[in-house]
Amino acid sequence: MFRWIFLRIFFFINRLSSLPLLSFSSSFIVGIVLSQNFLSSLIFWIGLGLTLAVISKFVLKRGKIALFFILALAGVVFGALRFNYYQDLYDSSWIKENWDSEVSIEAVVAKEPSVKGLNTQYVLKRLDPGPSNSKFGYILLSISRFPEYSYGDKLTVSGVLEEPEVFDEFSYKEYLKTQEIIGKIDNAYVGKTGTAGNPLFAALYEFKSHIKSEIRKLLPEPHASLLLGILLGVKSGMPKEFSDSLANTGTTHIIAVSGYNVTIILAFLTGFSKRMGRRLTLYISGLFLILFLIIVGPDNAPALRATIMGLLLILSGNLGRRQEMMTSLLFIAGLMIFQNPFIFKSISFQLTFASTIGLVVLSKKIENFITQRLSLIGSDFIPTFCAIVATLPITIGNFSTFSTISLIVNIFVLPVIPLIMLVGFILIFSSLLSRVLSLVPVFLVFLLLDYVIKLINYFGGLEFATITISQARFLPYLVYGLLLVVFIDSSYKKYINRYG
Amino acid sequence: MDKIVRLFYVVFIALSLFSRFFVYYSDSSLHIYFLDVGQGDAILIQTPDHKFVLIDGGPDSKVLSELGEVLPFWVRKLDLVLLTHPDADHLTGLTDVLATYNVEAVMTTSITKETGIFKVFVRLIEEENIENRFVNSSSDFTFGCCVHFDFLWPMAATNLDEVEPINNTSIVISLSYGDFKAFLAGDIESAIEQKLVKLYDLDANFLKVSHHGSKTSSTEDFLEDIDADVAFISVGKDNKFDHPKQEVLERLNLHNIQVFRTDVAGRIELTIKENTYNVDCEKTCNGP
Repeated sequence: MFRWIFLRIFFFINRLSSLPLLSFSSSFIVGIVLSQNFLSSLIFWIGLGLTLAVISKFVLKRGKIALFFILALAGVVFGALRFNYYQDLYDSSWIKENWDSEVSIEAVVAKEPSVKGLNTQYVLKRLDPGPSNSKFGYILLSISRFPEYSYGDKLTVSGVLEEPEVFDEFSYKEYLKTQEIIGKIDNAYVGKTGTAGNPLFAALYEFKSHIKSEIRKLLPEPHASLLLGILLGVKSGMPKEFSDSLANTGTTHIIAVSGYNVTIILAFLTGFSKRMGRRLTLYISGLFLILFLIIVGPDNAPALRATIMGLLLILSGNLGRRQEMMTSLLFIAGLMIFQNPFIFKSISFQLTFASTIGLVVLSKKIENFITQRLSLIGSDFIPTFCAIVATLPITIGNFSTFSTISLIVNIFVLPVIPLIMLVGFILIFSSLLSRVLSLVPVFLVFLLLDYVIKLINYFGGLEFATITISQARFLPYLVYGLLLVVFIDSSYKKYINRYG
Repeated sequence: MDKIVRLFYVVFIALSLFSRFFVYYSDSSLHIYFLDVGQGDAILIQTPDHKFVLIDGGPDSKVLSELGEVLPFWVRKLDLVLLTHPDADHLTGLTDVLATYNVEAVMTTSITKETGIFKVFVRLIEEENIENRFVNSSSDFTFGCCVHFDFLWPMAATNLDEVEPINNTSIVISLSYGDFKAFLAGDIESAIEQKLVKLYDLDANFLKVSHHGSKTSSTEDFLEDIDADVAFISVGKDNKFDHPKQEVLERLNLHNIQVFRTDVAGRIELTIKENTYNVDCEKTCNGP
């Protein structure tokens, strides 16, 4: 039934005639991007000018394209307006107004807590009364691990509310902003006063907590943490030495829930579609994604994005052409950005977005390349390779320590990940049923994880593993911007050819 | 072609599993691991008959990674966990251990501490239904086939509530196996060291230096009585207390005691087999 609904929506989107939708969505995104990086008062003029410049090329060469022009303009302006509105909420929030002052508030733990070393981090939502537009945003509370609080706990917190730091290489403030976290409190007096929050979410987190402790009982560290990271994106509790090794080898993304993991699994599953038939694959994939989302936590934004992109991929993978899929992707991305304009700066969002688009655009080309030149590697590797290539501008542009061996390590590690995910999920299900049942999956997954860990530890420890380059934050925008222009241009040509 | 590759994988996996089993079960030495948990203590003892005792858990979850590297992956059970005293740098890691490993029994003194972490420790023992025994000098026992635990402190008659500071309530153990003795001093300070010198003949081959090499311990008389060949110091790199203190290192040197420290060597493994012993270090065994 869900499939029916989703297909209807999908066809509706496509029937809107892709090109106008494409231009609106992409210019909306452009509007947001420009607002983020330039003075917002200039945005109207810059956006206007840019759009005019790009469009005028078509205007001069082609005939009437009034609709296209208006939509593009509207998109940019709309993007700017939305961003400005959001930025105002941020600027007028109670939290920002109280930076660097002592506060005593009543708040609820709004997301799943995260353990970092000896402390636990809680994302809090204020419950104190006040005008609704000042309630925007969350506070990040970092306190000792014990006593422990959970999602939904109502707490009174007294401490100093601080503005998050901005360092040379990294802005913690901006990073938190992408999650709508505006301030932080370290060390506070905390007392629990009751519970609030969605009971469904609370039950889901309880379930997730149970899975985490079961896995930790079955596997040693860092295997247990790595498996939880790969399966559920759990970074909480990962031994620091190992997360450093992941960073040094450029493999941190395997524990981040992003389009990477989801698209890999889906590509894996669609491989089965030849044997099982499209319908069954569709149902299984859809079911799997929904279960995945439930376990990871519905308010886990990266997971939500990855799941939506993934669902889109499966449904359209067997239908529609590349251009229509791009349009749908851009449209969905536009919706997500509309919901939270700050998200565009989130690396996790960028990676999900880029890797999904990469899969759509590149897989045919890479498949040809590989079957022609490198038939040894096999077709399993294609989705991961597409994802790596598509996200290269982001990884190079943002991480000032560039891992020289990252490509080598990823080539040896990534093909194993889908298998780990498969056996890992089997392990979770069997452990929920009985301990004995889980012995075989435990051993298999241990071997696979051990292989990955030994590889990463070995390469992570090498001295030439990382080189420092100055950050080129503009790089992704440059590369993708150019690609977008090329793509729109070629889409436009096709549109004109077909509709005159 | 495909079938051969698959067969190869299966054979490879089976071989690797069997070889691990074989190596592990044919090993009949006593292993004492001084785990690298930073500024804290955690000692894992593997007996010749493959039983495990963990003494203290260090100041954070690092002990889990250490156990992950030392224990074969199929071992999820610890026969005994012993907490020398409830200071955070000995206790914190044990909460993670209790939550992830199957612990048969816990030994502590009757001392309690009003900290969040201690409350969690007690709660976990109750929840997991683990037997918790309070021990003192009269609790001596032989573990498994042949490892004898001789508790030297606290005395049965000691009123722990009157002992200050809490370091001086530490459980002190003289571990013996065959011809060898290891003295595990917990965090005791000079006052208790003096008492022990008077009460016992403290002779031992190996010494786990008290309180991470702090100057409040490892007094002259004490070291003289112990007369150890090798000393182990569990300490964190660049710790804020400047442990181990230079004067302690000099005293150890004067007594010709070979010193191994976790901040330099990483995890240290002492292997005792029949009448020989061997020390292996994760990083470099040589001190700075």
